[in-house]
Amino acid sequence: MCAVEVEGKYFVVVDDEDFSRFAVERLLTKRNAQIISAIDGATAIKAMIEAVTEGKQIEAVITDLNMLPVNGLELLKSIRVGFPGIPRTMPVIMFTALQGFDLVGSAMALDVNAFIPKPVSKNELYTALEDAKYEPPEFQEAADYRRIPTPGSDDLDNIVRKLGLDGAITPLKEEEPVTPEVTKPVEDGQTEEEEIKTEEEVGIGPVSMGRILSRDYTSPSGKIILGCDTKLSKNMINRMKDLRRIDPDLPQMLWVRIEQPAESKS
Amino acid sequence: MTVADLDIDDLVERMDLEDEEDVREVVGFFLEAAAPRLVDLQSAIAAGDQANTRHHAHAAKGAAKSVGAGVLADHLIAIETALATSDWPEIESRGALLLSSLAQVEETLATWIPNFEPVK
Repeated sequence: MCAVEVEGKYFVVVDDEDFSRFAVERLLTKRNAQIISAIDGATAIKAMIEAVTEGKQIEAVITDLNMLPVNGLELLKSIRVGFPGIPRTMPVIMFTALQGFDLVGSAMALDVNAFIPKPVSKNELYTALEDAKYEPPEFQEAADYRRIPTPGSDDLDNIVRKLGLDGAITPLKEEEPVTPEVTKPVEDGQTEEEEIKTEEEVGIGPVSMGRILSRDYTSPSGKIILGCDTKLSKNMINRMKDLRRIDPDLPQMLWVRIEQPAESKS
Repeated sequence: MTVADLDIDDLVERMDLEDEEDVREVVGFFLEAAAPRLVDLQSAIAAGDQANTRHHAHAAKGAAKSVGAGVLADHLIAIETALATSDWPEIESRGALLLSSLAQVEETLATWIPNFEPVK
């Protein structure tokens, strides 16, 4: 049984492929959910703004990743940055396939609520909805999301212009580059043996939030999913578990920095 | 492992289908949507149009996998793979099999549902 009640609630379903969209919508309407349908990220945002204006409360967005001209990443970013009336914490569930793994790192940085595989299944969809409802990420400030790159898509500024929403989104004061945390350099007098012990290999299951990757986490084909220096959030760890369910060939071990004890000053 | 023309058991389980009417509705929708897409794909292949071939093959593959049309999905995956190396003979030979694979989906459905009326 599904622990998530969907009857009468509104869900946004976004996919440029008619049958895939129909499949998701059918699973939801079978339990009397209400559907707002869209064929890409821009039409989804427009439909969501209209729905909110009409007083409809949207429960979650279920979106494909690869769409044109505005893909699922840019849609997710638009939500996290904040469009008028649309909660930034809106649950977003994203379909992904093995060949989409080069984009999932950005989706994780944008705090996607769940990844589910295509083709859709009842169990995966409802488990994702349940996770999204009961295990929300710790959301960041809008400006933090604004800087995350969304390759393969028309960008947020263009969407704003096309939708006639100029001024609705606060731009960044300056183009602030993303500055990854830099590994502390080896200090004079530190031995080579000590240098080697700056990282350790940990499984995705037991790894704790806050740990920092000391190496890229990559797919078997070499695509970087999470880059070196990424600080792992609880949501990222959960999404990596999603991805391993979708592709069991993904590595189950990560390289993370060993936290050095604070130096005592005498 | 044999790839099925249409894996109805898997579809019923995944899509929470309850009876013949449900299967008819879902597969019928697929057949209606897929036929013009595959025709567009064949036109793109005939024109040597790489971008449209990729676009239609990717979209049709997603639908074929969603409905459980394994053989058709395999041809579409092969087309996507061959595009990476511009292997047009392979793309053309796979492209020529698309509509017959779709017809097989329809036949499998007709076997499963005796009163199924083929999609025009």
